[in-house]
Amino acid sequence: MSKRWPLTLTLISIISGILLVSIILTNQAARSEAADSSNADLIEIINRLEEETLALEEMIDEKRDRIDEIREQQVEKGTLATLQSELEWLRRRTGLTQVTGPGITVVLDDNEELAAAAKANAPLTFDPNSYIIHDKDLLYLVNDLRLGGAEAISINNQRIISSSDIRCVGTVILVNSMRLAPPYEIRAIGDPEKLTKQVLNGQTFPWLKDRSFPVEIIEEESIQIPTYKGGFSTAHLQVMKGETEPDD
Amino acid sequence: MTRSKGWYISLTLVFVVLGFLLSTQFQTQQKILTALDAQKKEDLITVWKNLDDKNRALQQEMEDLDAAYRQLLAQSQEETSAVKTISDDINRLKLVSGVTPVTGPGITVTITGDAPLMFLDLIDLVNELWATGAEAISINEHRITEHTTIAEESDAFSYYITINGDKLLYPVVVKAIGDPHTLEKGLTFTGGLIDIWKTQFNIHPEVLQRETVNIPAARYFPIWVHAQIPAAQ
Repeated sequence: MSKRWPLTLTLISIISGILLVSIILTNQAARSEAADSSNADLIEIINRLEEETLALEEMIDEKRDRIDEIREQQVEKGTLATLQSELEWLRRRTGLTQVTGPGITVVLDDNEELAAAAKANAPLTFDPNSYIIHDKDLLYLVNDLRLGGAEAISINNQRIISSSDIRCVGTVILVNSMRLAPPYEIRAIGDPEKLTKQVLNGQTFPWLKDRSFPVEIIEEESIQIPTYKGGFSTAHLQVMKGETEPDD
Repeated sequence: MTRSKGWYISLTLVFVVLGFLLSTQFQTQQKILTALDAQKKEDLITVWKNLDDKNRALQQEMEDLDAAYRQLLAQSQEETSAVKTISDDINRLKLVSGVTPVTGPGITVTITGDAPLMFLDLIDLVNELWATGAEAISINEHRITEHTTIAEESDAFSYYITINGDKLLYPVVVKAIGDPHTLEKGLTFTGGLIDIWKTQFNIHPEVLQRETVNIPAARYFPIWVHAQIPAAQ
């Protein structure tokens, strides 16, 4: 029994020794590095960088959340496309787009030749009004063209819309309140045959033709009708509530 | 025996203390090894460089996100204002296009069946009303649009006026929205349309200013078959 004691003690001493040495070595190593002042600077930089990195990561996270929020709102605003197509349809209906297509051009001109002859032959009974194109001629021709299925109409490049008025002040014809001068070129987009037929049987053309006015109808494969450039007055208009809108 | 028992106790105590010391030392050493203080300079520099790189990348990411965010924000504000502009346009065009019933002050012109009314007279009347500042017009609940047609037809019994192809029944009531006074005067002044109707055609319509005139929506809009909007507009 007593022979084993020295052995045990020796073991304990050895382990304790190793332990002590290891502690001392570790501490020395740590102390010697820490003592280096440039290492201290580096450590400070690293600590600061670490803090900055954490802060940045947090900010990025937050920013991503906000971007997601806006994106979600934008999805709800898909209405924009719907509104745009509705506006496009309305602009079409109100003459606010240029239009092209097949159709006819009706040319009406004052009867200057006959007027000159009549003036020379019978100056006393000469009435210049009998030899010029009147506002009513244009007004009724527009109705004829509508009866012929015209999809868009213009007179001397003035687009005719629902509220376009055609009138004369003195001997000047106003369309959309713009002064026009002869010859009048009335363009209509639609089936050229149908339009021609309606004009030939209408109120204006046969009447002028019978009186030898220089008038003609030209069927065309493609004509251009400009957009309406005037305004719309809506000062007294209000949408009537409680009624459903018609289908198109 | 008592002596050897004391040894056991001492020995056990020594081992306990030793074990405690060992584990403590091990923990301390681990801590020290991972602490920056314990690192070699080269290692510290590597850590710094890595961190610096990461930091730079994050800053770049943040800048990109910021730019994307600003763009989205501007876009979203643009969209909001675009929606408003478009809605305003739509509401205005709805009023004048005939797609919606409208109401407002104005006048009514009533023509009874005994008047020798011609379809051209109605075309004149509509034209005169537009010229006087009418903002919406209807004839017997037909809203006047760009495509409204007024014509005459006859059957075995009589001559009649049609509007959009429908036979026009009497009394004919023409409604117009606009300034009532201006509209009335525009029709009834001496030498004006109604004056001519009365003196030359024996048509005596009743023209009345109204506080409220209701005008219906157009019943149909023809679909374009021939007309197209040019692509490059």
